[in-house]
Amino acid sequence: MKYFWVFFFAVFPLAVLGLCFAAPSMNWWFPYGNPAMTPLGQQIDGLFYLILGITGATFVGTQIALVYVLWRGAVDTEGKAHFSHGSHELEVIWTIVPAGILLFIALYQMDVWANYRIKANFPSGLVAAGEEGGHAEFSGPIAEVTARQFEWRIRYPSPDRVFHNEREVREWLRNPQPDDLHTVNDLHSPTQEPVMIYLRTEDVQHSFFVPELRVKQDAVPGLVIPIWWQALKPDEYEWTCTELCGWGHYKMKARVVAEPAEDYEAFLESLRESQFDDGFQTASAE
Amino acid sequence: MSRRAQLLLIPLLGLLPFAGCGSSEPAAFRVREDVGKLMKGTKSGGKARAKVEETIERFYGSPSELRVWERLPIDFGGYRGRVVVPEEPDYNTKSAVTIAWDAGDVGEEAPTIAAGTRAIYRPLAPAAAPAESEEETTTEEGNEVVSEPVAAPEPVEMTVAGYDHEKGLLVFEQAFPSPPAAGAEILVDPGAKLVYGKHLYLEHCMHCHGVTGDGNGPTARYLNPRPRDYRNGVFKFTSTGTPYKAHRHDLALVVRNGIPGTYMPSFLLLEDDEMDAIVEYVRWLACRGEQEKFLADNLLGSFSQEAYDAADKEGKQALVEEFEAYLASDDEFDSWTAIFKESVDDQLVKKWNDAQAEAAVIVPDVPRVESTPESVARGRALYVGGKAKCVNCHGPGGKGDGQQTRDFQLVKGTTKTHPEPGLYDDWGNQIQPRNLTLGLYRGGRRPIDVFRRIKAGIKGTPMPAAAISDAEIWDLVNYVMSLPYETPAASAPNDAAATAAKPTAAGDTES
Ligand SMILES: [Cu+2]
Repeated sequence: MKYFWVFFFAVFPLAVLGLCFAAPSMNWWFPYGNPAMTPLGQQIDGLFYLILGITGATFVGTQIALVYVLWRGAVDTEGKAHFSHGSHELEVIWTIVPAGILLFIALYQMDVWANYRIKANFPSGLVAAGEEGGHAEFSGPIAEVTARQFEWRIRYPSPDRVFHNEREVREWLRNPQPDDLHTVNDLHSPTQEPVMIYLRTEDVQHSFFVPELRVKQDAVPGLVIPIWWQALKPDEYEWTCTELCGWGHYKMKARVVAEPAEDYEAFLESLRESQFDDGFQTASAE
Repeated sequence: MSRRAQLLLIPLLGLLPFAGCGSSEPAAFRVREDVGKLMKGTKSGGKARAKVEETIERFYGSPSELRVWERLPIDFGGYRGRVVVPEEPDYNTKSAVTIAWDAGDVGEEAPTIAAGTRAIYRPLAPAAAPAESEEETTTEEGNEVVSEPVAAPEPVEMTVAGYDHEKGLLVFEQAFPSPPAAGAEILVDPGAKLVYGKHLYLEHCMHCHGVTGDGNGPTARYLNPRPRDYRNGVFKFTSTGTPYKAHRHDLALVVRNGIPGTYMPSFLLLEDDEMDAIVEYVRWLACRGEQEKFLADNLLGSFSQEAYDAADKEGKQALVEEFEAYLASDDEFDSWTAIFKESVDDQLVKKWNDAQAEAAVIVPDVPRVESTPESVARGRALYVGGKAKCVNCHGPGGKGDGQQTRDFQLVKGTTKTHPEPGLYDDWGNQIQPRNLTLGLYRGGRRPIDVFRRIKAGIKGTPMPAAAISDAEIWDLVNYVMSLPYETPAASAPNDAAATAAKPTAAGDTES
């Protein structure tokens, strides 16, 4: 029986490791088995793998130690145990080592976090000149996304509108304009360049989540929150609400369509055409 | 609490996760309230109420066993074709036919007809007997075919064994009762679309709109405005003219875009065939509800339980006998037949088909008048003037607070007033005229949408059709669409000073 437990605790971590390596091929990994579709997302994936490496190594080390101790006890039934309770030295070591690792992770991820969350660290085109980290070539938000029970309403500035500074963006966010374009559950964005949206909610808390772009942000009542990403590949990305926001939460499935800049502009033009349709010629073709 | 009682609680806790299961709505269509007011039965057994219930059940079935009643103006799905008899068939004619599909059902692409699919074979009527029969077919599990005793031979239930699209060859598991004649009809997978629509409806729509489409699903009571009750056959936001019902694409537009300002969300990501199926199922539910309503309304005049009880109580024996004679015999129920025929042919078939015609759709006879300050001013004059009378309900500032919202209104079709002041829709809900300053357009924000709202009115609501010219409607559209903005729609995009005056944030304006 003693050897059973040695065997069990030796095999169990091996099985876990095996499962861990097999997971990606079983689609138990990042969404759709894909690497992140944004540069920042790839950095986030890098952090994930780093932490996985650290915890993995710790897990394997502790398991080896555990199996060794069990095995020693099983083999040497005569020997006397060494009682070590209250070892100051040991306690200092097992406090300082994990604390050091945690501190390292905390410091190491700060850049990624700042790039993801802090406006001044957004790519330069997304921060207006005059702001901290600002840039003369300011492109402003591509859209305002408003979550509501149970859909996403999207408002694009007119393709003719040029934002020169943050004040103009704030004005636009406060005051919907007659030339704004509107869609529901369908957010288009150009690929390659960094794009920014402003997220808000009309009712309860929702959360904006596009797994393949590694973008996740709560929409909080009263706040208007900027989010940015840089999609590397044209595609239709699944976009869901990831905050249980009510009985119809599951209905908040939408899509982010990343497309080359020309296609994106063509989309806005066709949207403008349909939104200002007066039905005079097109009605018969409906 | 004693220790023993506490111990007893532990297994009960184990049951906790199951609490709430089994309390879901039974999958049955709910009978309309009015039907309940019909005579439950007389001394000799005549039952107006049962008559209506049986009729609706017979032609529409239940959620688990939908009926394909081909007389309805509904596309039930499946593939319809006619038998072609070649001169020298190179196949076993006992259980196979070549088939020419109806153009609408099968196009260029091969239909997916798997082995085991149900099919209905309709032998040709022997003589020149009119082939118009009251046939119906149940779908799915039921699979039974019922027909009224008419001249046409009974349809035959078949099972497809295989299909070759190139040759148009349809092979069955069974042999035909007699060699099929050219032109005989074969219907493969009848009701496929309806069943698909039902599954999608139960997944996406039922929670609010209810299994029956009565706008009374489990979540409905928490919602304001209430979910639409389809059973009047009336839909508010249509592209069709005032006398018409909704076009299919009107329903699809609402499902796709949702209705801002209400709880109707967008279902943009539905595939086209899913959208088709949902729209068709909703139309079918509307037909079911409408026919039920029509029958109940028509019988209520003479056959309400109340009227019978009153006659009985007052000892009006002759009247009671009349009721009983009328209801007791189905065969003699001539007026019933007439009412029934009217309920289908005039109420459903004609009206729904008319709405799908091109002539029903409103197309402005002039393009949109440019939204200049002059046009907006003309629109404003119409808005407050006696010609369009918008101001009476929508108020001088467009906030939906006109005089009519403070007056007592007549209940439609009566001389009584509602107990509360304000406007009511045909479903009996108290409603607010739209606040036009919010920039929320329930039926769509395209100028043509707003144009159609004004031109045709909003069906089922006090919003009337405007009796003004199309050019005038465009002026009005321009005025209405300028209301959410402090400056006219023509303002420069970057005129921050002009827009800064508006205090509220975009999200705050909706409640
Ligand atoms: Cu949500």
